[in-house]
Amino acid sequence: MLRLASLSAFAAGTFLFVSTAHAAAGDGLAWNPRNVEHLLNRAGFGATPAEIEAALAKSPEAFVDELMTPKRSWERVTPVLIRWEDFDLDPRGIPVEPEKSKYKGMARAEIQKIVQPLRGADRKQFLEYADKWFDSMLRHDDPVRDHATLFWHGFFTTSFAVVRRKYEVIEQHQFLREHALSSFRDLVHGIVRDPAMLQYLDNNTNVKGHANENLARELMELFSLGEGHYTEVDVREAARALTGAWADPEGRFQFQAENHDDAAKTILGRTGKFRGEELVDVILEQEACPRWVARKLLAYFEGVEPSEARVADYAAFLRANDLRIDLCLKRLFLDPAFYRDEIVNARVQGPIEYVIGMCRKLSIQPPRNFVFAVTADLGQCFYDPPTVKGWDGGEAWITNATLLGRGNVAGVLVGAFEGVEPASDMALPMDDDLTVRVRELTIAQLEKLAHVGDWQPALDLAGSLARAGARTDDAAIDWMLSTWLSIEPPAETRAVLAQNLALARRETPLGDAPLADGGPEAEKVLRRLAHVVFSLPEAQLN
Amino acid sequence: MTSQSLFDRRNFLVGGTALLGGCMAASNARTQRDATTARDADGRILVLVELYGGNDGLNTIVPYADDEYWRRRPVVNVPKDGLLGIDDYCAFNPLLANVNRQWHDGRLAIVRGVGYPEPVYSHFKSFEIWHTAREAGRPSGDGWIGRLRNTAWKDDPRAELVVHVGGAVPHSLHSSEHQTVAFATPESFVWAGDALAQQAYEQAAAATSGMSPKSGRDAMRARLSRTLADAQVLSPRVLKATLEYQPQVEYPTDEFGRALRCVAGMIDARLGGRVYSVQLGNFDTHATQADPQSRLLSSFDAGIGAFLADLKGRSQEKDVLVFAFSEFGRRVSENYSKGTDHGAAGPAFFLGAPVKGGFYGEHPSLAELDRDENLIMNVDFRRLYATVLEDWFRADASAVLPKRYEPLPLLA
Repeated sequence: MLRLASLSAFAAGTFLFVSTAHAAAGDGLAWNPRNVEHLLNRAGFGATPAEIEAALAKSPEAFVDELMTPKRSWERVTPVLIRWEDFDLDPRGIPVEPEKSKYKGMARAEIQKIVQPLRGADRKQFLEYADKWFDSMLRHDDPVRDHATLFWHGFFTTSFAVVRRKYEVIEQHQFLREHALSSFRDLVHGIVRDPAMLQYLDNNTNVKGHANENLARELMELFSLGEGHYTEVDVREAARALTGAWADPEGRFQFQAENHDDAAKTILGRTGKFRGEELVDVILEQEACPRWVARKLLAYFEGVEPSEARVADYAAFLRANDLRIDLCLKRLFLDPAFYRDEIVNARVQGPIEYVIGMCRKLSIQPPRNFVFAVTADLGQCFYDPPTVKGWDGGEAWITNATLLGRGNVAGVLVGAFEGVEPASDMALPMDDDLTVRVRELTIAQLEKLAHVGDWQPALDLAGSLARAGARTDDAAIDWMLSTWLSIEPPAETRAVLAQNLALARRETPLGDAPLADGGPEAEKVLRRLAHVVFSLPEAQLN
Repeated sequence: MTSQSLFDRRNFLVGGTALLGGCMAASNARTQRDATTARDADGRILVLVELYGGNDGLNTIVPYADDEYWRRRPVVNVPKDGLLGIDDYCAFNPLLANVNRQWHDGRLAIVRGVGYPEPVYSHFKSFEIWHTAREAGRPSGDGWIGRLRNTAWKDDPRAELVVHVGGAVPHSLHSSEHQTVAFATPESFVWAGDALAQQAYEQAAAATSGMSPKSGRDAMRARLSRTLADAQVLSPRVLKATLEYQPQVEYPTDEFGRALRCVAGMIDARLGGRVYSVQLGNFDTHATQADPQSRLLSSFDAGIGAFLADLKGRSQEKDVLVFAFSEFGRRVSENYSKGTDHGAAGPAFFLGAPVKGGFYGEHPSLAELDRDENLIMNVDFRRLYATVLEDWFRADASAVLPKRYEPLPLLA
């Protein structure tokens, strides 16, 4: 929550001027620090004071357009097709006994010697790809597209636990990112011929006379219509339409006429010799489809279940605009209702948003592979959602353990654990030092898990305080809370932090020197406070 | 710092925060909690095992004497050699040696043909029905264990009454009125700030967790504060109970075995849990079922076997009931992918000293199937819940279930 009183007055003036020129979009939307921060939180990955200030100098529509225009073009990755899983998959992707594979006759250990390095290389290219995407979020290169891609990844889920090799996974993600703001039409048409999806939902074994319903069911239940808008007969008929759609061993889509059931099907009231493409067209004609997409988009970006009226409104807009996601999101971001009190700062951030947002606010670059590892640990593993339904999101992110876990990630990122002796071994003593030992163990495990190594954040919190002119302890605490949190914590929390700072002054060599003057002691005290602030309940909300 | 002194420090700090004002309620609640950690007079415990993904009941308990089984399962079957005999109709999968032992000891109740009317084949919809026990599942609202808490244990605010060891918390445990304890590993259940940071963090949580505002955002923040305060009190207790636990037997080191070892530790330490939840999966074997199902059944058998052996002879043995279920069974006929698709009815299991072993419910016919070629259920799963609610917890099942369901007489 930023207190930029003078700026907001200036911005309000700007808005009055601008609103006459842009009467259609953003009409009635108060353009103030609260709303700008909300927009940056939800459309992108968190806000810094400088970004809020810059946004306030523009009209809402101009700023939303800017936010939706890439600052840097995405250099497409060409993943390498690494066949580490060959030893136990047949051409349809079905596991086979090693003795039937090309490694027939070799001992398991020998096979592993060949397979492990390949598997490692595949994992490496995947983690590099993940970092490329996370870096794009960190830099806000194309924030709305990246946030929409995160949404679609949870919508058209696929898991590397099933697809295994990463070639198809990386290609799917680049497809989702490329079309994240296109028409929903392009997304669904693409996803039913996406090799990773075809493997994930077993369509390689969906052949004439032996239908596998998995893709057909999820296509209607989760990807387009929602439960209650189709029948079991529709699922069976749709599965027949999808027969013959195959992900080949080269990671390409193939239509196999010989495995396709070419007879007529009746799906959702329409009859024809449908294939996958026609099935998707039939589905896209349904009234339920734009409603489903509108409902999911609103629930995600607003963070509350939308009212039926709001669903109907946005569904009608989608239908009238060829299901264009970019237009729909732009409308949402300029809709005064998007800024209503019920939803601003009332949503629990997902782990990826939490970690990326913290790094952006602190202007730090996390170590390689860090974001992937810690967000997986906090319940949002890139390309391994818990179920085909994706992540539940919201309050479901938070358990006693993930709340403490988020604070531990924050501790690493603000350098609060510098100088902690790593636990020398994992064996725990039987004495009563359990909590202290576990602290060391937890830090050691987390730093190992998260590939921290010798990394330390390039932070100069005292310098930031000096630049902000925060020379008293109260001003320092105000600066931290207002810069790092979107929501103002209660007075009690502020008092606790002030008390803790006073205690630190008594117990450490810091003495009475202003924190803004710097030095190792001041930085240590500030990092401790930063650790607490980013671990607060308020830090989970945006 | 010792655990004991940590505790003293916490009590001191919590008392200290009262001076800041506005948090007497929180402080009182906390003192009460510390005082009531001793086991209740009726300390009965349920261990809820969710075999997620839809377990193939027919290859778990194999109807080897049924010609239909071999006709419909030419590839995805369990060969007769090695089956562990139950009777002249069916036998255990050979991987279930420990489960078989429980059966022979009379400590395993197998309920056959468990399901619900009008089966749905979506994992999520089916889970919603199992988790909420409603006639038609709802994505929100409380789970059946959550409603048990809200009614039977409504005066007991302790989060640790219900503990989930694993990833995402099953919706069955969800209560809009009470927090649930959940962690994947005990080492992840600690906040690693230094002592001074720890102090500020605990005070901040204590100062705000007693607030109960009405509006959406502030109510959300207050719930997060309560979650945090609970976590801070429970963390040292859970660490002690799990990491210092000395089991009587070796547990398997896979995730399921480790989770059950934690549960045994918490039971032994009398943490105060009434329901402990663990999960095993993914049983969604659409393709090449034999390998993954074998691995999972082995995990189940080894984990449950160790857990029950570990409990043996302990004073709590008679107070622990294990209930294992899956959201549906699988299609009777195998598919072309050497797997099976989503089905309907399947078996559920009750294990432990309080159980009167044997079969409950008839085995569904493999010849007369429903219109989707699935086994027809003959025991509504809500009867199993009624058994747990009424006969195990002595709770009012009508406050939890949508209507009256007859319990099964499977408790000794």
